[in-house]
Amino acid sequence: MLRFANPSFVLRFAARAVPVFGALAALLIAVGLYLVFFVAPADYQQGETVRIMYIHVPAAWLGLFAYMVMASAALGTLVWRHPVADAAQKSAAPLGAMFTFVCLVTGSLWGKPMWGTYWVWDARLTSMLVLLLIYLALIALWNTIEEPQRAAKAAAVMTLVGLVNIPIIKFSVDWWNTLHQPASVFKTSGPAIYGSMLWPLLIMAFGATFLFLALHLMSIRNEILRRRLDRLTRLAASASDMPRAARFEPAQ
Amino acid sequence: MNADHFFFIALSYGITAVAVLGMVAAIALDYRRLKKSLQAMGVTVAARDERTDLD
Repeated sequence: MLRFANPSFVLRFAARAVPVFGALAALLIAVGLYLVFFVAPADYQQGETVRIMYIHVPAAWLGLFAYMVMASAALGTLVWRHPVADAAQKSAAPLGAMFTFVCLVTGSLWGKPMWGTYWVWDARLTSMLVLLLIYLALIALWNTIEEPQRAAKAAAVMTLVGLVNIPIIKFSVDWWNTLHQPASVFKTSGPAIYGSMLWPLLIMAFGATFLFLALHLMSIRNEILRRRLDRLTRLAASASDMPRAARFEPAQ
Repeated sequence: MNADHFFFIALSYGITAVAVLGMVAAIALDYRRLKKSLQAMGVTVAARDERTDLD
């Protein structure tokens, strides 16, 4: 386990995995887009606008998935105080924010022709907006605290506190009377979508997942390199200060 | 396809493409900048990946 948590191992793994994950993401998204626009039928009620769902739903899943990744990394930061966990946590926040933003924007653009409005203060929509605000607050927190270890610890605590929002998002459509439709894929009785629409959706979701994995690994690699560069800069600065400091004689 | 619906679909996919490609470009440019900075400090690529003393 420690072998996998080694920054040098992560750099080597990223060098090999990023092209593979990136290629898989490109392939799955290309196949998914073909199915979405040329194979999947229009919905009997939504018409062609249902095609927005093929990016809205995967974006929503990835927005939540990124937060679960961050919460796991936050545990790694607080329990094992591991630098890779810090980097994983910090790197997932902008990606999660991007997917949540895409989910909210595409949902809003779907809502206008379907509901007649871009936005309603519905429990599902509001809890997703809260998730975006949590992501932005975490990014701000990382940028506010200069010392990386203190920033990681504070962000980890905040991430775990914000975790309470995840079941609220998931079950908001069951707990409250919402305009947003209830779950139609992950149901105990099985998906309520026809295969001709379900497969393009799942392929787009897998493509988005590989995209997230590739971008997350690239981002973790950047974070490790940034810390090494920072450490080198400090070492160089302290080495150049040494002779000057040595020149000072202690006061008699 | 209804023109209104086409507008909303095109806008959704367009915004998503800009967000995703923007994120990819930002991360790739950051990586390039970091590599250049490390090279400027005399750290080779091979040494850079193995410098565990800097973690």
